[in-house]
Amino acid sequence: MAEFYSQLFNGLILGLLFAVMALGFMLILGVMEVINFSHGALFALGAYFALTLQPYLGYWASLIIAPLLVGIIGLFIEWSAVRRIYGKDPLLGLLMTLGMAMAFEEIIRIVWGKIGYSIAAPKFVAGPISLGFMWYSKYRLFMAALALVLLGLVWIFLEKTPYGAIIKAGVSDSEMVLALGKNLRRIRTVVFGLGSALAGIAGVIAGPMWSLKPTMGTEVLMPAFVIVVIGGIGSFRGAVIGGLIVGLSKSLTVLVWPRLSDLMMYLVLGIVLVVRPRGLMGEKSLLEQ
Amino acid sequence: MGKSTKIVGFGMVFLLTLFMFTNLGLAADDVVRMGVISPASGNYADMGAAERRGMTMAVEEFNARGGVLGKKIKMTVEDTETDPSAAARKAKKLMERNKVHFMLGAVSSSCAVAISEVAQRGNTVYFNTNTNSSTCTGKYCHRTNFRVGPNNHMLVFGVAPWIARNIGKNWYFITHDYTWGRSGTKEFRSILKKEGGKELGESLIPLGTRDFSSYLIKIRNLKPKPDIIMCTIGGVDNTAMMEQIFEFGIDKDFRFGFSLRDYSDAWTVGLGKNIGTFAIEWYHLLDTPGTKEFVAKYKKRWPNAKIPIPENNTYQGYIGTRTMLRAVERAKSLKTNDIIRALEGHTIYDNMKNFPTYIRPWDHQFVQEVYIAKAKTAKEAKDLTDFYRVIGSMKGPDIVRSRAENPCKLEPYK
Amino acid sequence: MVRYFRHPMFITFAVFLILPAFIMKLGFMTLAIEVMIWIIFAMGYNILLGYTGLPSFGHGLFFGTGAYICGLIQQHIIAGTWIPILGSMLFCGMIAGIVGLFLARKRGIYFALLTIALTQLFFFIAFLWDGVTGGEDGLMGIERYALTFFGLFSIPIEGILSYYYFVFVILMVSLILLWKMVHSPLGSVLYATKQNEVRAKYLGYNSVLYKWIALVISAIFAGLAGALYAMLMHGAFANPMHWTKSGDVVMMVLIGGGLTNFFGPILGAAIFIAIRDIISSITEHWYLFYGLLIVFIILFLPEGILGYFRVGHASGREEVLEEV
Repeated sequence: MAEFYSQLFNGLILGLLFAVMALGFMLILGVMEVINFSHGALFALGAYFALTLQPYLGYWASLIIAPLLVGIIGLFIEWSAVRRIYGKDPLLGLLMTLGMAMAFEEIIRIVWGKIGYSIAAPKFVAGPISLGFMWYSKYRLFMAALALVLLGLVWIFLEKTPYGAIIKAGVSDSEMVLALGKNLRRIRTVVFGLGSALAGIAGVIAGPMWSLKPTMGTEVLMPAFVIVVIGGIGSFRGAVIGGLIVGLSKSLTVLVWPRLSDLMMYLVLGIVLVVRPRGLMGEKSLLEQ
Repeated sequence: MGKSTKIVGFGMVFLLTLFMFTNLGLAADDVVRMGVISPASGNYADMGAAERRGMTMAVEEFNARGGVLGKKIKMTVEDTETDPSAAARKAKKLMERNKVHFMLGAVSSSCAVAISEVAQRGNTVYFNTNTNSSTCTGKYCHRTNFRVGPNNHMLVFGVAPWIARNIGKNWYFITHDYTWGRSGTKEFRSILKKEGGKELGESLIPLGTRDFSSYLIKIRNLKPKPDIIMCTIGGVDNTAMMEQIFEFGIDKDFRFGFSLRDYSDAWTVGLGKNIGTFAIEWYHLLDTPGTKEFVAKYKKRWPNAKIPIPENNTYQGYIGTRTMLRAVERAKSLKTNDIIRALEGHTIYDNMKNFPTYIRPWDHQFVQEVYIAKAKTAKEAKDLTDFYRVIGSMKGPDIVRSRAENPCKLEPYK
Repeated sequence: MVRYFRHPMFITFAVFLILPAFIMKLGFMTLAIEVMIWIIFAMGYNILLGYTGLPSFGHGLFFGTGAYICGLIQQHIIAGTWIPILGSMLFCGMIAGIVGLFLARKRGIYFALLTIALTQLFFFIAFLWDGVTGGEDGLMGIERYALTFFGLFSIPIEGILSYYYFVFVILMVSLILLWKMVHSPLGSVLYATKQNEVRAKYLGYNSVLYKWIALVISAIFAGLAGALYAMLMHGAFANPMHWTKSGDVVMMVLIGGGLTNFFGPILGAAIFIAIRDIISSITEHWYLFYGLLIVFIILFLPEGILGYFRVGHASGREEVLEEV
């Protein structure tokens, strides 16, 4: 039983990290109807920025500044390119961001080289800790707390600020927002920047656990993608629940049949879609018929 | 004519001319054309760069002496993208368009299998460097295909008996769930059986796994506790696992064994998270003839390389290229069959190892010495590049697959 | 009669017919065969994207499966050429038929999302099931056996020139079939579904059925292309099914202008493969330029080359009708 609880606990913690990873992807998909394939590359950029900044600024400052830089890059790519394909065939956005992902990957190779790097976890959370029923990594507990704070902040932003209300309206009906006379263009830019910054912060958090390589973004994108479809496009709660489901399915599968732990999330996705075609929390929107 | 007719027609003609111009003069006769097919993108890009540095050094050495057969050597590089289907395509390109006399490179075993298949059909000599899967000189061996590095079987038979005798005989396996990983564990198992040990279980890890927490928790809960965890995890996943072993504090209570440690992986995680007992192909601090000189030469040639010393990948790139070029000199010919004949059964004495390397004529495996090493901690290390304590070595003929064990049957000469 | 010679299809055939005379010595044959195979794939795919308006981002799934099935039939059932190829087409059509039951009810971004998930699922299956597919090493040793015609006579296609003309003939047949299809009532309904699905429904067409048909047709051609590609490379691999490679065929359709013109994918496939080929030889950092190029094409040539020169009506139908 102890093993089951350990895996359950780990699955939940992992799920929180996955939720953070998926959040930015979900926002951009929900508001702009763009499948942002550069999400993984932005995630990697966040980790690499943190790698470069940490020796100079320390852990906390780089935790904030690295995602901000990624956010600025996000603003730039939205302003220079992505905004031109809103409302067009979804494949255009998909291909464009895929091209950006390739370009970013190569830029990382040019700037930081092809070799891998390791970022040390901050001293106060290095190593393991006993939780009574299991030993666990201090860093992951810290990371889970950080993820909860982040999720809380995004939730407050979406639920309690006028900005959030507009974004949510944009999720369900962008024409309505336009009719209300709001500056949809600026909202979209901000959301893209925010989504990118969230990808960046996920990268900073994941860096010390997963080690850095130029290709590190590729593997991250698919879980984010599956989470969003499971949870329902454009749903904050959906992204969190989807994250937890993917985290749990990964860690609990290890108990039974480790080989399937990667495949499992796709199977869950299939089941969810058969039962609830719009995802668990998805509301009916213009995106699908 | 309709507009689309014109555009389609003009487009085709334009493309044709473009092709002609980009490839004019590629197949000049006064040079030896050497194709390098190695990853510049994808997961193994760093190791690809490392092996290309070694190849470049060897080529430059020969060119400084006037080349081979009185011709300069020209290197043409193509990127495998760490993807076997791209690798096969690029290999065809090198053979058909650049008309290379021979090819080297790979890093990924699956790319090597795909390349050697088209190389055999195109009858071009191909050295696969830095691959370890036993299939490259086993099930998928070819007349034109040679493997420069030791295979999984050699690595495992090098390190595993030592582990069984000196650390313990209760093993748990962590296996990367693809051909290379599974073949490694299979070899480990056969040794365990021979040594009379006991297997306590296995975790198959999907390729591309970045998070090992669930597996590590599982290991933590194992009863009875294994003496050692034997891992065959490759590439980026391996470095992520090493990070997490420390994150979860498993390093204190468990010991780890690996089939092979690539130097770049050790470099990535750094001295603080260096762990385990494993086999290595070569090491820049080995006390073997020629190593010091090679390291000095490398430092002079690549002052800006991120890793300041030659890695095992660089070593293989260098040795492979040198062996190939020397074979051309011995054969006094650039014809495929002549080069193959000059290589089969050849022995390399100045290989920067204690014992010479021998090219087995019937499966084209470079039979060579393999070293057993332990990870050094930050305290033990002499400098920032010193990651291994070499604790022993195994001579090639003692660890290589016998003819009865190897399914390889080479095709006749073309 | 003369008007047929001015037809883009005829020009394409003529170019590919005489091409070997110019490129054989230079060693471009494999590349040219590759272009023809991708044309088949992209033209079939365009039935789904350009004519029915369903944005699939997972057609690598059918291409990859076609390659595997071709090899598996050759190695386990019959060492021939026709049956493995037909088997691949049939099998891919069947898979598309099954997943289409679910997919055909979707459109837009949901359709794209689901196809990505599907191709990734199949990628994992192909990768893990190494007893059958060869796993990461791929399925090696796929041969080009001689073509036999009812045991009467046989033509070897192992040589590069003969394989070239074999693929060429298949290309001709495929293009003519697709042309006929687009200009049949089926094509009109598909196009109507793209323009306005609700209206098509009101007109009494079962739009889900037609979307399903388009998916199956495109999958059959993808399977055919996959099988031909496996014979070209003598191996089948899982990588074409990975989502990072799924964009290739979409780019080919877009670059050429497939969204607005029947012949777009021909130009697109040729240009795409040429660019990929040239750019990766010039610089080690080709990923950067390749990625940026994709971005620029989407930005400045969203309708592709033929679209940019304003060739053809949105459907590519009327234009040709006037012309021929």
